[in-house]
Order: sequence, then structure tokens, then C-alpha cells
Amino acid sequence: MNLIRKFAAGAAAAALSLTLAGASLAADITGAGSSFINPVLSKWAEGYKAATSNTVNYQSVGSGAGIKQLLAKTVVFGATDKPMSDGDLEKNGLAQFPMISGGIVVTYNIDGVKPGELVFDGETLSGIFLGKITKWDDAALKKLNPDAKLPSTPISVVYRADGSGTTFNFTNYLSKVSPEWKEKVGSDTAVQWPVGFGAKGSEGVSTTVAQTAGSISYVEYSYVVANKMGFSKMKNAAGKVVEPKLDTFTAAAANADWKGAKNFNVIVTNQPGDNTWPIAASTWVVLYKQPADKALNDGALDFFKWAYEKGQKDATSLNYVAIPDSVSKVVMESWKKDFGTK
Amino acid sequence: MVDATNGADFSRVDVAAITKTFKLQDRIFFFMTLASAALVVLMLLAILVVLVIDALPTFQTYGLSFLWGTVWSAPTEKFGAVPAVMGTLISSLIAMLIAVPISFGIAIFLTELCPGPLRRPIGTAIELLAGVPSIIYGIVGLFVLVPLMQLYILPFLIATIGQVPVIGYLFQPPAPGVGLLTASLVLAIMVLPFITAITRDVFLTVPPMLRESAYGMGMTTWEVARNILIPYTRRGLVGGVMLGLGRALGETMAVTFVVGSVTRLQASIISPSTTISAQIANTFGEADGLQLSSLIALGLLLFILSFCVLALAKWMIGRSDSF
Amino acid sequence: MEDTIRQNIMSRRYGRNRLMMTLSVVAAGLGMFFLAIILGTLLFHGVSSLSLDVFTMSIPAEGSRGGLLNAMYGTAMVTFFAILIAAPIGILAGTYLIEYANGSKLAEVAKFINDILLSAPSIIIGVFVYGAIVVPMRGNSAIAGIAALALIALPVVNRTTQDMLLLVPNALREATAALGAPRWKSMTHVIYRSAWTGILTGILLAVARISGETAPLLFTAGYSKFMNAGFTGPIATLPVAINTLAADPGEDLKRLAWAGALIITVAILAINIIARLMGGRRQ
Repeated sequence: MNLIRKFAAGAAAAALSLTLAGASLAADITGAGSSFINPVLSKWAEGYKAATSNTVNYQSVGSGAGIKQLLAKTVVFGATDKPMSDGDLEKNGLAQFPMISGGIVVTYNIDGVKPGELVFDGETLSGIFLGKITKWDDAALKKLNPDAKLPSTPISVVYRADGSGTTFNFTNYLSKVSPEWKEKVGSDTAVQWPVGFGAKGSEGVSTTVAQTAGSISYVEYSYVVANKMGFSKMKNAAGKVVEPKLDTFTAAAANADWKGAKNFNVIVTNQPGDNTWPIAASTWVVLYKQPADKALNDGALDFFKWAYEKGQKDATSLNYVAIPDSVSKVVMESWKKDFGTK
Repeated sequence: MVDATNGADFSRVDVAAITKTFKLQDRIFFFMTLASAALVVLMLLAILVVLVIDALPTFQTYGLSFLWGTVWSAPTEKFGAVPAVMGTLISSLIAMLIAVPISFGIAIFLTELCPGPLRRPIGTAIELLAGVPSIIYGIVGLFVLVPLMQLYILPFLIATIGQVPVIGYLFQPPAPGVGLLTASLVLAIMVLPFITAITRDVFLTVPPMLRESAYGMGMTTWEVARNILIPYTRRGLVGGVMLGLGRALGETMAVTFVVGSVTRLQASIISPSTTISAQIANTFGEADGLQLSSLIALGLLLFILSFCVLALAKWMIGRSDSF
Repeated sequence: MEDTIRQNIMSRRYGRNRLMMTLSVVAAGLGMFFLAIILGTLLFHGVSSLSLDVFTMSIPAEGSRGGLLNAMYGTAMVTFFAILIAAPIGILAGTYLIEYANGSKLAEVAKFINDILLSAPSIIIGVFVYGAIVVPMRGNSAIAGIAALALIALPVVNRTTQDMLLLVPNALREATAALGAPRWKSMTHVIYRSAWTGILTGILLAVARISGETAPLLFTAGYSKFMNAGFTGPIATLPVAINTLAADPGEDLKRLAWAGALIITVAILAINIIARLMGGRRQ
């Protein structure tokens, strides 16, 4: 009995001292939001930690949850694929800047159809997600894909159950190419999907599609590559069929007039150009102009500076489009005004 | 006469002072225990109060009609409790329908049929099943059961029961594997060990005399079970079932992985759906405003629901039994 | 004529008995089967994912090497402090209800309330702690996680203590009273000692229960890929890590999730077995 007590006391003391020692370490730079940017941001965080020993703790909870956490001041920065409106930024004392661009691809899981084999266009895509096209061997799909062996399995639509910037950009594209979609569903981080069921995060969507035969969804390109999933080519605004690749994503982002837009608010879906990927998206990082803890804010900005300057290789290796140097210089210049950096 | 005091000199001992110290120590100890017991009660009250306060905005917006609202849609900011509540109730009900017969079967096996040396290991194995964390049920359900459902079981059900009029409405596509039925199956396996343990314990309280005389009369094992064991332990059995039901109602992780997170009300039980706990687990992290308070309102409903089931169970078993 | 009827009835009875007994054996077989599937799946996916990395490195981003060290530490730390808080309070509370107030209406109500807390859905506890601690603290923390798990463990320990104290014969209590010792001394030295094994079993079972809990930690302790040894800031725990990693499409991360699932299940089963060996369960 006595021995147990001694042991317990000793263990408690050890645990307590270890914990207190840990508690004295500097607070982490915390962020939350878009799962679109998660793969590359995680890589950046690893590189940054190796270079500076500072920890950037990012939670991939979806753009909606990320902004909510930022507004609740439980994180230092938020990341969202739906840019915040001028009004919201003003009202909450926030400032945003673009961090990355990339492509959203349509992913599918069909027996007998290989990745990269199918072609969709805006019309068929909105037909599927509206629930008008219900089987894979539908005439419209066959017309776009005369050579593919499309089975008669029912189409299972999978969407993002959480508030997602990826959803915003995807529905933004559908609204641009389908007036019916624009009227019936519209575009936002969360919409009333006419058919299908939801999964949480880009991660959840990828897993669900991989598990569900006959399913279709939309997700950031790097998830499809990492999970070796089916993805489609798209017919873009110029009528050309393009593959999801770094150069088609770059073509889409190239049209963005970052410097000219107020609060860097530029949407890159359905851009013109022969080689443009139609469903491209960008992620913005949002921070407080007058934060409670300026040191943490400065720490976060230092991380993003590192990412702009040294993170380009990480980005391109994961098929993201890094923000061009000319733009990142303008962004970092704007930090002086917005965040008071030197 | 033996000197029981062992030669000790008690004339110097201040009995009054010692007694006073003892009394003080006793008082302190008494208050420590009282405070601890009171703390438990306080915590429950605190939980109720916080839940009610945080759920208030929803009831202020909808009044009681929240309880029968059939639309839950975050994008349009409309919230009604019915889809989630129905999901919870249906999945728990089906889970019980599956688990209870199997549990009774296992209990009868353990008490009547099982050869002596096997009794302990099998009983322990069943109890170990109870110790497996619920998230394990969730991931095994997701990676093992869901594909099975999607590829074989659900298409079979659609082709057979789905064609029968009336009941067929419950078995319609879409059936991608996740859904209420899958969740019910996982829940059933989760609840199984609890009900089995309670049923077995309760069967063991039947006086051997009663059993022996029944066998002596020539009753078969089944007849003994049906006519002696079950009626004798009726109250305890129902109590055990109620406790299992309470567990099933509140289960979160096992269900969240396999239920689908669709808040649309639908007739088909094989399509993706939602339950109260799954809805909270899925959307709490990013909810705010009306959605947040509606989720907490759902939580409050769940709390009240499991309280009612527990109260019923207690009334049935009395206090002498296990959890 | 009568003979035939009697024979018919008999064969029907025996037939029905045969059927029912077969079904009950099938049921027991099903139970074993489910256990085998769960453990089998865990072993199949988990064992191949175990490596030294799992025990020495923290959770990685997809594509990098890593392990579950931070999650294992998180679970150990949060569970430890939760029991540190819940066990003494639970034992004292149970003591009050049985030793001092047994039989009174107030005690009956308090016992009932304890059982309500015991059966409360754990996610509701998480929601409560979120509102009570996470929001004022502006963020996830080990403190919030500890509070949530303590709230779950408390009624368990309370209940077990009550059950164990009830088993102590009254004669023992009367004997210690006759010794002239203060009541609290007789409680701790005599009565606790005789109920100690049972109470310890209860604490171990509570440990097994809370270390596997996921839902209450989701919004309280949160999640982190990095090692966090302090009380503040998000901290990873094994169940939440499994939850997050299992949903990731990356193969490496999914494997890590299975490894974590195996580790936590083995740990909990081990604690359960130890508890049962100590408690000397019935047949």
C-alpha cells in the first residue's frame, strides 16, 4: 500500500515536472481552415520547423470552420478558399492575402475506367450534380466519352459536408456554366445539394470516393494524386479538352489580376484561354490587423514570408501554383500597412 | 488481573483534547466527502444549465416547433430536429432488434449449455468486446462493413425486400454503403456485450432449486429458459435492454463513420442519413450562431432522451444490478 | 392413439429445443465471430504498420516519416491527470453516500444523479466542457481534455466505490468504532483496506474507459501534429489521432491510424484483463 503511494507520488511528480517544463516553451503559431491548402501548408510547416525550429500548427478543418475559429480568436490565422468580402474584412479588422493557387478536379471511382480517361464539360457536370444524369452510361456522358466503357451503375454524388472553400469554387464554376445551377443551388461554402451525401474535408471526400463504387466528387488535385484516384479531363471555356496539370493550373492563375483587386479578391474559375484549367482556385490567409498577440502575428507573417521565398519548390512538387514573385512582393509590401511589419 | 494497558500511564493523557482533535479530523473528513458528493450533483446541474442556456437561441427562434421541424439545412439557416432524432431512434431501434435476441442467445448458451471450462473464457471474451473503444468499431465498420454492404448486402436487399410493396419504401437506392442500416449493425455489435453481460448475470440469480425442479419435471432446456428463466428475471432483462438502448442512443464515434451525414429526411433506411450524435460530431467544429445553438439543442434532446431511458431502466431493475 | 399424440408432442418439444439450442450456440458463435473480426482486422492492418518510428516520432504530413509519439503522450498525460482528479473525488463521494448518508432520501437522489452522469452521452460532456472551458480559454487545451475525461471517470469511480463499500460487512464497521479511533481513521485504515481491491479495479476500469474516448476530446483537447507537453494549446490524443488519420486518403497516414488503433486497443484490453484478474470476477 505504502509502496503504491510512493510510486504514485513519484510518477505524479515526474509527470508534473515534465508538463511544466513543456508549458514553459513558446506558444505555437496556430492556424486553421482550408483543406485545399493543407498538403502544401503542412510541407511548408515541416520545412519551416527544420529551418527555424518554430512550430506552425495548422488544422485542416475546412474554410468555414477556419474563419469561425479566427473570429473566435482561437487561432492566429485562418485559411480560406473563399475570399472574405470587403465588408467582412473591414468589420472584423482583418486583412487577407493570397498564398497559393491550384486546381480542383473531378474525381470518380468507376470499375473499368482509368484515371484521366473521362472528359466532362460544364453542362454534364451540372447535370450530374443536379441529379438529372443518374447513371454512368447516360447518353450525354457517352457522347463526351465515346471510347470509354461506361457501366450502367448509378452515380453516387459525394460532396463536402463541411463549410468548404473548395465547394465554393466548384459551385462558382457550375454557376458560371449552368444558369439552372445558379438559380437552383448557387455558390457558397455550403449549399443545398440536390443529390448525394457528404464527407468531411477533402480528406474525407477522397477516402469516401475511393471506397464507394460509382461515386463522383470534386477535390483538390494533390489529394487525387496522393490517393491514385480517378480524375477527369475537362472541356474549358474555350471548348478545348485540357488535363489537370501544373501548366493548365498556371494558365488559369495567370489571368488573375492580383495587384489590381481590392483585398486581393480574385476568383479564377472558368477563365479564358486554350490551355486553361476551368476549375481553378486560390487560398487566402487571413489575420487580424491589430491582434491581441503581435508577436504571434509577426511569427505567422515570418512563416508566410518564408513560404513565399523558399516554399515554391514544395508547392510545384505538389502541383500547386505558387504566387508569382512580383505579386508576393506587393503582398509583403502591403503587410507594412496592414499589420505594421517593418 | 491482566494489565490490558500494558503499564501505560493514562493519568497524563488529556482525553478531552484528544477527543476534540478526533472530532475535528472527523468533521474535516466528513466535509470532504460531503463536498465530493455534492460536486457530482453540481456538475450534472452545471451541464444541464449550460446546455439549456446555449440552446436557448434556437428555441427563441422556433419555439417548440423545432422539435417537429423536418428541415435541417445549414446553408439556408433552417433547423429542425426531426431528421437527426429520427436517425437516432431508428438506428437504435434496429440495433436493439438485432442485438437483443443474439444477446439472449449467448446468455442462455453461457448459463445452460456451455461446458464448464469454456464458460470463463467465452464470458471474458464477450466482456472484452465491451472494452474495445468505440472508434475502433467505427473504423472497422467503415473499412470492412461498408464495402460489404455496398457491394453485396444492400443490392441484395434492394432486389428482394425493396420490391415488396409498402416495406419496399424502406429499402430504396441510393445505397453507397453508408447509412442507417449500416450504423444499426455496428451499434448492434457494440451493444451486444453489455446486454449479454447483464442478461447472464440476471439469469444466474435464478435460484438453482427452481431450475433443477424444472429440469426434474422433464422440461427441455429451451422450455426452462422460456418458462422459468425469462419470466423470473423479466424486470432485470428489460432493465438491461433499456441500459443497452441508452448506450446505443448516445453512441457517437461508431456511428459517425458509417452513417453518412445527410440531413435530408428520407424513407429509405439504407441511404446515407444522420443521427444526433453524428450530426454534432460532424458539424460542431464549424458551427456558430443559430446552427451552434441548434446542435446544442439536439444535444439537450439526446441528454433528456437517455435520461428517460435510464430512469425507466432503474425503475425496472432496482438498484441491485450492474451498470 | 394417445401414444401417437404424446409422441408427436414430445418430438415437437424436442425439435423446438434442438432448434433453439442450435440458435443459441450460433449466437455465441456470432459473438466470437465479431470479436475475431475486430481483433483480426486490427492485427492485420495494425501489425504491419508498427515500426520504431511509430513510437519515436510525432505525426507527420503525408509523405514524410512519422509516428504517434505525441498522441500516445497526450493520451497518457490527459488520462493520468483526469484520474488524478476524478479518483479521489469519486472515492470520497462514494464514501459519503454509503458511510454517512446511506438510506437517506438525499443520498438516493445523489446516487441517481451520479448514474445519470454515468450514462450521459460522452459527446454531450464534450459540448459542455467546450462551453465552460474552451471558449473562455480561447482555444483547445489539455486542461479542457482533462476536465472532460475527469467528468466521465468521476461517476464510474463513485459508483464502484459505493458498490465495494456496500460489500464491507457492518460488523467490521462496528468493530472499528469500538476501537475508539476517529471515524476517518477507521475508514481509511480498515474499511478502505478491505474494499481496496474492488476500488482499484474500478479505477482501472475507469482508466480503460476514458483512454479510449474520442468524442469528448474532439472539441476540447483538439488535435495537433506536434508534440505538446504543456497544459495549454491543442494536444493530440490517440483516439482523436486515429479519427483524423483514418479519414485521410494518404496510405501512410491511414496505416498510422491502424497502428494507433492496435496500440490503444491492446492497451485497453490489457488494463481490462489486469483489472479482472485483480477483481477476481465471477464465473
